[in-house]
Amino acid sequence: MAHAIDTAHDAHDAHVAHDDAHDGPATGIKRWLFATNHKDIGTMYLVFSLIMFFVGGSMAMVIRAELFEPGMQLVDPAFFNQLTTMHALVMIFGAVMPAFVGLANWMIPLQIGAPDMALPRMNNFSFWLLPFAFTLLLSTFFVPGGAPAGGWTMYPPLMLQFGDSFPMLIFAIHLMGVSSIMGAINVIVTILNMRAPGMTLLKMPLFVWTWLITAYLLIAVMPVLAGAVTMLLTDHFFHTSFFNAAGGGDPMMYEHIFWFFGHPEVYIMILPAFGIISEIIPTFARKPLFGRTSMIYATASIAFLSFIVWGHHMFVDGMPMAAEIFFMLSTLLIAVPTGVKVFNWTATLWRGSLSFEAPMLFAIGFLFMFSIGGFSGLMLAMVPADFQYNQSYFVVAHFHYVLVPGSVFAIMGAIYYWLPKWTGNMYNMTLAKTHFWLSTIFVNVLFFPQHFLGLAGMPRRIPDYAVQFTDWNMVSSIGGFGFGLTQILFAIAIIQCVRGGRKATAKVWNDAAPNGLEWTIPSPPPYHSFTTAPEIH
Amino acid sequence: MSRSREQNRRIRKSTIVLAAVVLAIYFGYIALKLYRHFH
Repeated sequence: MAHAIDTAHDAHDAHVAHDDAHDGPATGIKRWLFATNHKDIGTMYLVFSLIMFFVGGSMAMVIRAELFEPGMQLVDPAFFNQLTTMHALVMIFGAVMPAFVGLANWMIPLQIGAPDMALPRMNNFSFWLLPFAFTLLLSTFFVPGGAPAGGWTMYPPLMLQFGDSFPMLIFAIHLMGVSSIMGAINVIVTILNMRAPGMTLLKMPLFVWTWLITAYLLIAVMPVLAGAVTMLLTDHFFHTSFFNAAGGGDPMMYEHIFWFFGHPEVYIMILPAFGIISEIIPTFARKPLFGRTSMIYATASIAFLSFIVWGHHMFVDGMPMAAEIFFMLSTLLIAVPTGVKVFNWTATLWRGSLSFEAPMLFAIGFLFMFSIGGFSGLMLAMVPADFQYNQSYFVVAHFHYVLVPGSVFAIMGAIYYWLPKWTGNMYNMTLAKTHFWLSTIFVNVLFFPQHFLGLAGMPRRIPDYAVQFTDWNMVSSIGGFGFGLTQILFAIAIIQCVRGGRKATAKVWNDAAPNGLEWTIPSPPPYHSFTTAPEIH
Repeated sequence: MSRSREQNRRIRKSTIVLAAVVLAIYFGYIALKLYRHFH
């Protein structure tokens, strides 16, 4: 099936387009194991991501159950720490990032008028690394000493004290990094070389633009993370002392290197979400996106700024005052391009002919709730304020608002937006809207009280707490259980849609007349999306 | 749709450049830290 785009066929390329006719999916397990088709690989990424979402979510349920009331009830403190660490690693590297890569695989070729991704075999390798990486990571629960428990940031010297799980974690991180880097290379190479004739860079859809910028971020920072964890590995097993003060090393250096990766990583998880929202809102507002070019420049500005703000994660760790002020001001500066984006989305809605199908509900939910996370981010950016908020539940509330009703809602919106295009079937809209409303209610019940807990002084990453924090923890846990159970509706809506339903048209959202090349081909799209490149005028 | 020889050349070139950047950052970073450690 990938023969048409097989680089091994270079020698034949100059002759004729000779091998399209027999293309089609392989049958059985081979279709998935040897997949080189962007849609098949995209589907595998999305299914993998959904499974990891439930695995990471079940860890969160145990965490919230333990925190339902003070005292130790369900798990011992060491296991609790393992759960918080693994919940973060699974959700970041297993759920959110693969979901965006899956969406990129599905949508980038469709949106730029290409037959497939530029490097289909590497695409297969990128995906199949992930099940191995996560099997390795999750199996650390069963080794002596248990899973890693030092937090997803893996700070030394604490991290160097863990047992058998440590090398497994490092190898898993390397595999995830290799997978992400190959995925990013594929995205950049595809976008730069496979666009339909006439599609200049500035004519590209916003989702493609945001992914292009995200891919550059991945290329720049994933090797830095890989370097940092390699140095951890050599410190542990080969007696180097990169981060060991006793040997002349510096544990603070690890924090600097980690957050030089870590902050752009945060934007890797939100920039594609911005692209998705920029696709959904114009469709259901029935207006072109307001300030399209400024959206692209704002995305690029956010990406640039993400490289010079890492110190705000380390304000209390000891830093010269000038550095603290620099990192504070550069962080506050990010509010400017982000404000441009929120303004543009709002201006697109202004006097639009709005309708509120499930994708639009998720987009509007994103707009409100991501902004809450953005504002608490501004509060945390201020050095003196951060001295108070640091290591408290306020931080937990902040980044969950950005990641759950931010990134995760955007992913869900994207699924509800493009699922009929992928499957050729409409989903149960009532079920999808119910999923949205219950998720929105419960996500706020879950995370908003955590602001109060943090401001009242409850530290993060603890299995037990003082009794004065009980009420809001109970409320938060009830929200957590509700949010977790609500996601079953999401799985049902998807499974029902894949199995059948009312047929979707090529445009899917007919009366909204969505804009973009993906709507010019049938639903579901043919196995090779554009066998003849469309002309863009 | 087959890819042209020219398109394949461009794809190969951009892949190699990006892979080189990744390797340069990874090994460069560790080499820099090693150098700083020993000097």
